[in-house]
Amino acid sequence: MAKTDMKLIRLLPRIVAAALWLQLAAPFGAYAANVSNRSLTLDSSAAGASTNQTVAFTIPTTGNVGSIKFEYCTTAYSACVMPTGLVTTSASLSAQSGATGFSIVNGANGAPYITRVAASVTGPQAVSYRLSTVTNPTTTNTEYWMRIKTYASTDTSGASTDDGVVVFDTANQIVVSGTMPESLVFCVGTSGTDCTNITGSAVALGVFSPVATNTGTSLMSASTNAQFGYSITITGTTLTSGVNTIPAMGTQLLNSGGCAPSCASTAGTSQFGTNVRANTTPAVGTNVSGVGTATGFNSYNVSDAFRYFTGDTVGSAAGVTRSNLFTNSYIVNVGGDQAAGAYSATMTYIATATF
Amino acid sequence: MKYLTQISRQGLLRLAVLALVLAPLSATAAGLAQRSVQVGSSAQGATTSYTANVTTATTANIGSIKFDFCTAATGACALPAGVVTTSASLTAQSGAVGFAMVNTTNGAPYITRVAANINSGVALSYTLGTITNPAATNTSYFVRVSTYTGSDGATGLTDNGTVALSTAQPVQLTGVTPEILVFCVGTSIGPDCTTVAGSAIDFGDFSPVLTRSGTSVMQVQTNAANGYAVTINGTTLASGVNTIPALAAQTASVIGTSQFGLNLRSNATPAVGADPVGIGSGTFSGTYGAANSYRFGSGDSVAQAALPTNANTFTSSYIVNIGGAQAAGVYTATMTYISTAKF
Repeated sequence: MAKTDMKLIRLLPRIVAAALWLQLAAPFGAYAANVSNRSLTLDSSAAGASTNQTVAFTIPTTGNVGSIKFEYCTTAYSACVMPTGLVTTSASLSAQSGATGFSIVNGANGAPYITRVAASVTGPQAVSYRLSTVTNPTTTNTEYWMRIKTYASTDTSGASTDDGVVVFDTANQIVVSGTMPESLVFCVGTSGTDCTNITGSAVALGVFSPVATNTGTSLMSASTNAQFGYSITITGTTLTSGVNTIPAMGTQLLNSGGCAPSCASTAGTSQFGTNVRANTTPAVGTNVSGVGTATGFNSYNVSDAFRYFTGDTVGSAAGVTRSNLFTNSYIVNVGGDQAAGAYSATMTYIATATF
Repeated sequence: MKYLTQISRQGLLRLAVLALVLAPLSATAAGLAQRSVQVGSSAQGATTSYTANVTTATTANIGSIKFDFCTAATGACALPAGVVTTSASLTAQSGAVGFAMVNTTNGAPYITRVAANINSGVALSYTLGTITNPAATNTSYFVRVSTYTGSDGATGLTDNGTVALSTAQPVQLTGVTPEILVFCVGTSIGPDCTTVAGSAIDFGDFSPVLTRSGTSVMQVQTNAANGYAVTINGTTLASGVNTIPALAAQTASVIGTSQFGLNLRSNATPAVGADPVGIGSGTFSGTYGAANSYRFGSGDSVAQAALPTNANTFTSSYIVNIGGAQAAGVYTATMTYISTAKF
């Protein structure tokens, strides 16, 4: 065997390997240029979702383009296996730009193509095509590939002119959920701004005098999602010291003549009352505040007029409402004949929501 | 074939048992519309009444209605700390009646009867007495109301609905009425002692042919059990060693006769003064309470009240007459009123 033949025999494995490499590389052979700037945008990445897919790329080669194929595969370069669950047979071409005049041919599942009478495209040319009603693969959180090929023919026959691969992924959808239960948030205290910080329970009205009006305030906040809103009632007794009481305003004959259902504050006249307004005589209290729709109720919603009767409604909301802050203003006047003693009363507010 | 039939029977039996187990949890229960629970007291830990008002959604034979007290509106029911329902009673019922209370399970009382029809859209009201509120204040909690066809508060869920409630901190109001004696003296006054002013009365030039007069005011009120007394203290008008004689007894004003006196009335001769005003029960003393009669004696009681009294305003009317021989001079006197309350 000649020396030259021996050399050829030794080079044979390398020649075979090179031939195999060229064979594998054939689809991406030197005759087909890569489409560049290529992307595939999904309207939904949910597994199995029927969605729109927009493929965009730049055709590098000047030449006739009669069809463009979009082949869905489980790998980028091996023999194409269609992803499980993918459906393209209902796909439509809902938008096109760059090179237009195409219509879709969706007869082969997983390999739709768009076609037109072949016309020249001058490369580089950015193009975009929107395929609607494509059902994603059914396996979530998985990579898939679309192989793009342009052809001079209108039916994707013959060798492709340009080609390229894009990858896309299905992804799990995150379900965020929660429950809004029936809600009534209500609190009472003497300081604070809402039910996260309202505290306190004692209102010291001081030392009463026939020539001055004593005042104090408490607070309450309420909100509800009850369809018919809420009402707040006040319950308790008037200020009492043993058998002696300070008459309630606007609700009984004593000291209420001519001023029912509520009374102005009169120094020197024994009277106890409340309202939920900003007052000037005496200067005490604040109007209802907050982002809710609640208001003071009837006689308790008049500035400089006070009343107290156990069981009365003092505030309300007609429907669902965010929180409001009520300031309950208490006033005490005494006549000179008011019996000496330590007076006290407990005001209990009750909020009732109607769902 | 026989084996397959046995398998099928076992499967059907298991399905039937599963269906029975799941029945009380069925999602088919309709919502009780326009529902509320009114409590007698919102105070934490208070033993009070609960009035549940609900409207049925489904026409059905109802044998029981349960009231579950829970810390949450949905999910597993945890009893709010402090709630006690084992002494609960059914104190009122309307809409559908004939129920009796079963309170053995704390936090889940129910009312029961022989099942009878209730149409949909019927407003029901039940008042449960003697229920102890949750122990936490300013805290939301929930009552889940459920109707059942069974009389056991568990079987045949028909309608249900949740109501949110809240405890609320009671507000304690306190104040002190001290022993009161409000007393003031001046020459002018408004409605009360905060407006009193003045301290000087100028009679002008005395004359044997006319009567000079002037007034001061005072207001007094007290909560003393035995009222108060006001005395007048001082000397008659004097100028050096010369004086204008005080009227030792109630006497009419006489022009040309030296005399000094006062009273607490509205007078015509001369036209001076005013009767007491105010809502109190205080009044003038008898010796200073006759119109057109005047007197002055240091230490005399001029006004009093026998009981606690609101304010009265008194007007003290002073008159001065002089004889022609009254020594010339500038005459002055200081009247000091003293109010003494008797607690």
